[in-house]
Amino acid sequence: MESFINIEQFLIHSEKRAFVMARLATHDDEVALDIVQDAMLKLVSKYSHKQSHEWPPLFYRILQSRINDWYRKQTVRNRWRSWLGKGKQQDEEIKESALENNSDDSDILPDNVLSNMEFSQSLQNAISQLPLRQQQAFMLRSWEGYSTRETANIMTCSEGSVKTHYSRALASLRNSLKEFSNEESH
Amino acid sequence: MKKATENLKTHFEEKISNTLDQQVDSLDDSIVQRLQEARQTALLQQKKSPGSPRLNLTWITAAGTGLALASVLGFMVIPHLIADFTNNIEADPSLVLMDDFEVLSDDSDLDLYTQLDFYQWLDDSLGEATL
Repeated sequence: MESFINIEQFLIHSEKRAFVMARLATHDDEVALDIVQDAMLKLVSKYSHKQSHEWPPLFYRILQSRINDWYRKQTVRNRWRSWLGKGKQQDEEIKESALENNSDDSDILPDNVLSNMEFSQSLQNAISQLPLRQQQAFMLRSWEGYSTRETANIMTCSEGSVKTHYSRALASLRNSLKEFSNEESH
Repeated sequence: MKKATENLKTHFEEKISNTLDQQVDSLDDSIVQRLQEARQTALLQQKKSPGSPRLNLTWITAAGTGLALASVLGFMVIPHLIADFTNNIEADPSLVLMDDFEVLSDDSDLDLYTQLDFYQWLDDSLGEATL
């Protein structure tokens, strides 16, 4: 883990990574920005007096807590939407929007760039489709490099749960991204 | 120390980590700008947080205002209370409880009150005797 001179330096280092994490969880830039801003506000207002090595786990704990809150609210909203019959229509709109956004420039890009873009997009989809707890365990363990114990502390669950979430996440990602596995061996 | 099975995962995870890092590096300028603004907003909170001079000044101002208000109320209310008490004494001196004071300052009279039953019996006895 890196050490930081002050909390601003820590935020500069972490804000974009936190945003990517929140966006993968919420699939929404605006929501992700709000969540990251909330997490930064809380960290600064409540924990800026803590030692710098405590900031990263505290920040990610707040971030994951905010994401969990959003996820719970969204689950309830979706239940009501589906009950009111609006969910299906909205899902179709989201799919159309996603298709428009994913219309790539494949005819003007080199193969390796195209391959990277495809992997990046597939990875984003694969991570987004993971259950939230698996997603969190994977991102914290694999991307942020936290130990099982630290991840359990951030996620406020047992180490055993982290191991289970993490191994399931990894298995799902391997399965989702198996079409790229040939490239890995080269 | 990592197990051998975990080492097998490393290449796959490494590729994922690198891809996620690329996503961080290629965020839209508008997103980066808004994250910077969010950070500045958060850091402004730090300046307002407990222990900072601005907040201390706020607390001192609030405490001073409270004390001043209490003093004004005190100067306005206390003279009225004193005046009311004095007026009541002038209007009705019995409020000073002079009777109690007299009783307490005169030992003989106090004996009279404490032995009242005896004097009552004596008075009755003498009355019967004269009849």
